[in-house]
Order: sequence, then C-alpha cells, then structure tokens
Amino acid sequence: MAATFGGIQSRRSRFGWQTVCYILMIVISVATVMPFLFMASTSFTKSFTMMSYPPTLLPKNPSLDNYYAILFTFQEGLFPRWFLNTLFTTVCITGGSLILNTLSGYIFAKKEFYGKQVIFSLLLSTLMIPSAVTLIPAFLMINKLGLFNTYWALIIPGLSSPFGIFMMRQFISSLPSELIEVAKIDGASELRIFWSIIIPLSLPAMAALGIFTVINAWNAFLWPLIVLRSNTMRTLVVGLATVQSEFNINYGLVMAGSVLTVLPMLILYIFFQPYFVEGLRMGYGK
Amino acid sequence: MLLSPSLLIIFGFLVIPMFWSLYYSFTKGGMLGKHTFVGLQNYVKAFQHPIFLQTLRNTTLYAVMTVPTVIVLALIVALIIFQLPRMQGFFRGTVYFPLITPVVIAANIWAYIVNRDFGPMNHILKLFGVTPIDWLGDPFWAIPAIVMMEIWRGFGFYVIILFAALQSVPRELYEAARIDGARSLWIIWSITIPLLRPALGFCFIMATIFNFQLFDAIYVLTKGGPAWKTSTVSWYVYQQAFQSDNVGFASTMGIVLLLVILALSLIQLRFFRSDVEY
Repeated sequence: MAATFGGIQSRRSRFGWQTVCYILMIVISVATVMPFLFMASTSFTKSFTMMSYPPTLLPKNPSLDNYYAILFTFQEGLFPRWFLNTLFTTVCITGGSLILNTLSGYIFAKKEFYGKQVIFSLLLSTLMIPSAVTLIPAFLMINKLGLFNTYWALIIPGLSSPFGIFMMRQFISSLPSELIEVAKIDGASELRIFWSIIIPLSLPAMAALGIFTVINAWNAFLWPLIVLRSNTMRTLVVGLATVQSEFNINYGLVMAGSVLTVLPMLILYIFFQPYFVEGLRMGYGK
Repeated sequence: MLLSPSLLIIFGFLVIPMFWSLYYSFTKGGMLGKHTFVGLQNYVKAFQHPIFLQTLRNTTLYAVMTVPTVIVLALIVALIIFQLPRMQGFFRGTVYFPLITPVVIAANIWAYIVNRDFGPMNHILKLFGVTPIDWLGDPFWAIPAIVMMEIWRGFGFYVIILFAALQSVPRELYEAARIDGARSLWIIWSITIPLLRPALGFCFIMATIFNFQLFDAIYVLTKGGPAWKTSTVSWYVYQQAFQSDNVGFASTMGIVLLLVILALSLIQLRFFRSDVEY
C-alpha cells in the first residue's frame, strides 16, 4: 500500500504533480547509479582505449580481458585469494555476531540484573567514539594477543556490536514475555528457551541485522588495513585500495576488481531488500 | 553470565581502548617501547600545531558543507518518494544503493569521474564553457570534490530514515489541514517538518558523527594532499600513529576529536529535543 499525501492536491492537478515527481525521481535515481555504470563500462574496456575522450557509457570494443587478467594473471592469482579471505572473515563475523548480539539483546530485553541500565547506556554511548581514538590501543591489543596478520584479528572485534545489541533488544522487547514464562514452568533451561523460542521468533530481525553485518564486514577498510600486513592476507577492499598506489593505475583492471567485489553485495541486496529497509527502521526508531 | 562474551568484546575493543588512549594522550612514545608521562604537554602542542589546526579546520569544513546539504537533499527526495502512488520501494532501494558499496570503490569511481583530462564531470562542464578543473589536485577544489562524493554516496541513508518518519505521521492531520484550506507546500512546512523534528535531529547527529570521522575517501582520493589541504583529523591521526610512530600525540588528537564530536552531539540533542507528541 502506497502512503501518499492523498487528498492534498485537487483532483485535477494531482495527475500532473505525480508525473513531475516521477520524472524527478527517475533523474535522481539515474544520477545516483550512473557512476556505477561507468565502473561497469570501464571494466569491459581494454586499457589502451581507456583514456578515450569524450567519455562514453558503452565501451567501444567490449572485452573480458580485464576480468581474465584480474582473476588469473594478476600477481599470480592473488585476487581469488583476497576474495576467499573476505568471504571467510565475513561469514565468521556474521554467524558469530548474530548469535552473540541476539543473546545479549535477549538478556537486556527480558532479564533483570544489577546495573543493567548503566551497562546498557554505556554500550550505546560507545557509538559516539570515533575509530581514531580506539584504533591504536585496539591494534596494540591485537599485537599483544599475537593475532597480528591473522584472520582472528578481523573476526574477534567484529563478533559483537553496540548497534546490533541495541537493534535486537528493541525487537525482542516487543515479544510477549508469557511465552518465556510458560516455557520456564515446563522446565526448559535458559539455553533451551533462547534456542527454541527466542531465535525462531527473532528471525526477521536477525535477517535484517545479518545483512547489515555482511555488508559492513565485506566493505570494512581501516581496521583490515592496519591489522593485516602480508599481501596474501588482504581483503578485497584493502587489496583494491593498495593496488592503486603500488602499481601504475590500470583503471580497467581496478574496475573489473571493483565489479567483482560489489557484485555479491548487489545480489544479496536485491534478494534481502525488504528486510533491509525494515532493519533500518527498527534500528533507528521512529 | 551469558552476556559476558559480548561485553568482553565491546569493552575490550571499544571502552578500554578509549581510556587507554586517554592515558597515551598524556604520554610521549612510539608503538613499542616506553611511554613517558608528559602531562598536558601534548594538548598544549596540539593547539599550537599548524598542521593539526589545519586538519581540524578541514574536518569542520567537510562537515559544514556535507551535513546540511545531505539532509536537505534527503528530505526533499523522501518527500517526493512519499507522493508517489507506486514504486516507492524501488526508488528507496536505488538511492540507498551507493551505501552498500565500499567507500574505497566509490572513491575510485569518483577519481575517474572528476579526472581533469578524461573524466565525465569536466566533459559536462565543458559543454557549458567551463575550462577543465583539476578537481583533486587544486587546493581550492579538492575539498568540494570530496564533499560531492560524500553527498552522492551518503544521502540515501537519510532518505530511508526520513521516509520511515513520514510514514508514521497520522493522515488525519493532513486531512484536517486540507479542510482548513491550507496549500500543500504550507502543509509540508507547518505540519510535516515540525513533526519530523526528532527524526531530523537523529539524522543531524548521525551525519555529524560520520562526517567528523572522514578517512577512507581521503586515503583513496588525495592522501591528505596537496600540502595537508584536504587532510582530516582521522587521516592525520592514522598518519602520525602508523607512519610516523608518534603514538602519544596521535592519541591526543584522537581525544580532541572525541570531545568535539561529543560536544556537538550534546548541543544538537538539546536543540532537537521535541515537545511535540503524536
């Protein structure tokens, strides 16, 4: 059901007004997506025609050379390795943080314990801390734990987030407490209640949080840039950012890599879009 | 008990590091080795340090140029989408799309778009008789070029938030205003916008927090150059900590940034506090 200011306009002018709105939105949407069309177009263009002028949206001699190069010949197959690094860490972060954030959200929503309000407001206020402040000590901590340049350095800090806990708490608060009471009377253990009642009921919210987590983990830049050092450990985004500065810029190659990096997120976005918008609404209140 | 893993991670990687940083900000030293206590010396130095002051000015400039623009644009777009009888979901999905791509990639594309010699931006400007601009190399144009990228990439986020807020405004208010004979622009100005106040406040606070931490785009587009003209505080902290091994001073600058963000958030929170309930 579309929500509009129905009735604001007189009947005669409404049709004209809506046409204007449609045209405006089409222009804005095209302008928003246009840069990505340039990215796709460049990735299919052979590098020597790249500097062609004037810029065109459709490549003149489309070829898959850039894709072949980035997948097979670039640095002896480094790109597929980056892809697997990113995939592995993203899957671990998402799986782990979904369970931990839901568990914490449940406890903050349905349990009473000493200092709950204080701990919860402290959690929320961490959203304001700029990464410039936490970066150095967090980096030193990773070093002390001997995790520098390992997957764990990416995964462990990602396993819990104040935003995720907040979002799950908001959702679980709205679930009826009676269900939990009944299960308790039936003699179900805490973990059993969490596993068989809370998780199934929270699946819509978990789907929304999950897609946010996947996108954040996949696109993370500053933290992986700092804690991963060797070429083979890099994630896609860090790899693409550093390739540019280390070698002569071959835009076609970089853009082919960019397309392959964005593509999985695009597919996910298209399939999960309803959850996504719902998640933003849940997480950010009114 | 069950809460402990989450708290361990959040306290371990957010809360404790913050206090750790606060301690470092009073010391002198590198990543490894000893840190000697120097009191307020770093803070005194920071406020006399031309490069730090420059980066603080730049950061403020980015935010002042980005935050109001992005929110006004998002408000207009949200209002337009709200008028449409169909395809609301499609348009919301489209304007949000840049946010699912890494900043690094968006910035790479942007570098191509504003390229002096073969970028589409100068090509379009040329049609209007503007001489080609070296967007990222010219100290005057570099900041606006980065701001444009931030606006393009970020406005969809606020569209979603404001659209959700628009949906929660009761329809009866509009009906009543229309019966009173109010014009639609007047209705938007006098009914919709005041009711959106909490959501707008939220958007302003989030946008301020995000934009005062600008880093990724700087890394890809300019590396802070030419001559620190585009550098932000976050970039300078990174540069000092991880390239110049000046951990004490870097921590001091981080803490100053935290205080600035905290102060601005509190001011905005007070300003946008709303008495209107609906």
